[in-house]
Amino acid sequence: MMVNRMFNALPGPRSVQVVVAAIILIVAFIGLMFLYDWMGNNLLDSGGTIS
Amino acid sequence: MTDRVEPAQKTSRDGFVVRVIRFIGWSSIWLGLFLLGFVAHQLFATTFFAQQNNAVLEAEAVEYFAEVEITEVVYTPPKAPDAPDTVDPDIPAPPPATLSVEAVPEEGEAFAIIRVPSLERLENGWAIVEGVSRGNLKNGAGHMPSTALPGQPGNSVISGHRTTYGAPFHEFDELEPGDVIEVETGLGVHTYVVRDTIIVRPTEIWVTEQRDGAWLTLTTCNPKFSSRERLVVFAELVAGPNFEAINQ
Repeated sequence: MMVNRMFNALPGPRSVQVVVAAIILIVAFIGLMFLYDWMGNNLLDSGGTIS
Repeated sequence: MTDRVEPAQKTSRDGFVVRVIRFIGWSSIWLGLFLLGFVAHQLFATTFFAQQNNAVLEAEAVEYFAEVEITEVVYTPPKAPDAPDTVDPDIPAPPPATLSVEAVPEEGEAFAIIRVPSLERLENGWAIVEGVSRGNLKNGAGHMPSTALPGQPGNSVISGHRTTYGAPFHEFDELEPGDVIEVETGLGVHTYVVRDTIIVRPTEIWVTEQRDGAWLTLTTCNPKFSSRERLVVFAELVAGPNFEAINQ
């Protein structure tokens, strides 16, 4: 229901809402991957380099 | 007639408690999904892509072996600290040894393959690339550029992941003195034997310093699933194209 409310709050007609939602999802996914990568390098395994 | 029973009036306090419980519940679900995604990304996704990329890098390394420029240079090993200063004129000087030297690879280029027959993950080999940047280590083990190339005199330092990105050095805590490590380069196969393993802080750069003879220093994170320390494996060259020249 929250997702529906957020989708309906997007501006423009239905087709524009779909495109905007897809762009937001892709950007969020890429951001999440960067965050996971950063967390992994700093918390789990930095690659074992000496510096 | 029956008496109508009024539903219990919701107090504002009850509404607040429900909202707090709902907030905690949803937050826990999202946090759990976030952490589940993190674990899946780190342990499975990175390993899947690293294995795919490393297979390509291994093929590139084999091509590199055929194309790399190799030169022969006269090599005089450094004098041992306990060697006498004067040279006996009656003893003929040994003929100068010839060392095979390959061109320095470019940053990110796959130029060698490491194999450890006693470890399951490395018995079939893992490509080594030049450089130890985060990007380089995502696909292969990384050779520290300021150190000797494998098979050359000095100290060749190679780093690799322990738990993510294919975790090529995952089993390094199982290495013991006497275990064999092979590094294939354009010159051929250089065979090293493990002499020692130690655990140090990530800033203890002395482990990368040059050494007499030919050494391979492998570094990885320690303990598993943490980058708090470094597990360092020291291995000495015992056979290979340059072994006799270095140990004359």
